[in-house]
Amino acid sequence: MPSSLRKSAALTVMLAATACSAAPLEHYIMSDPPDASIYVNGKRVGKGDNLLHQFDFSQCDRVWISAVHPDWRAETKSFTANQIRRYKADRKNIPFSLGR
Amino acid sequence: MKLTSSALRTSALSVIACMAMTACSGIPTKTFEFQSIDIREVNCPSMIVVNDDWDTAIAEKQVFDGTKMERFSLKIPFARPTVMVRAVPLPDGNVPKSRGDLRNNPSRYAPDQRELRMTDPTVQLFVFNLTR
Repeated sequence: MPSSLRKSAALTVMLAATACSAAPLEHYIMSDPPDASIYVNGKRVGKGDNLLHQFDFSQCDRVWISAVHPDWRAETKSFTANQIRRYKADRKNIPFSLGR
Repeated sequence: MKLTSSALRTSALSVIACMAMTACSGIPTKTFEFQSIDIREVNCPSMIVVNDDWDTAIAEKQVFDGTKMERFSLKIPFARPTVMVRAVPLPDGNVPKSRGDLRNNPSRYAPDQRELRMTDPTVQLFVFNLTR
């Protein structure tokens, strides 16, 4: 492959990657129990029964998600955009399994 | 006398140099907004302790009190890439006089902590579980 073509290809890949990182990232959050409240970056966004959420990484490089239920131990975890993309690629929900 | 004035001059210069270094040290800071709730999703007063610096937390009254504020804002210097932030539940919502004060009057909820980076979201929610 000619060098100029290789450079163009690399530039295209870089531009695509930039565009992807800015694109909204949607994925599902699943908690056990499913009626746990889900908070993303301190804001309550719904219950963890396969909750579809649009994650915003424009101002931060991690999101903090908490699952809260009055009868279970709350859990808080942080996720990068890449970690969420991996769950999405593996067709797995973002899991929260609360303990007693 | 000559030695004294020379020493004074050196001291003064040292102080000025120290002040200049502090001003220009360029330690980045970020203002976070903290909130804490319990597992019933009710606001729970807490003290925010950064890098285990209890003295500053107590002296500066670094307290989230849901009856007075929506969130507690705190500017945190990042001398290192991460800082350890601990939210300690306050049983009565009052600022303790010392760390021992809290030990003698423990909350029914356990503290929560996390390592924060400059690039983390501004709003940080701590959720308190019951002590085991």
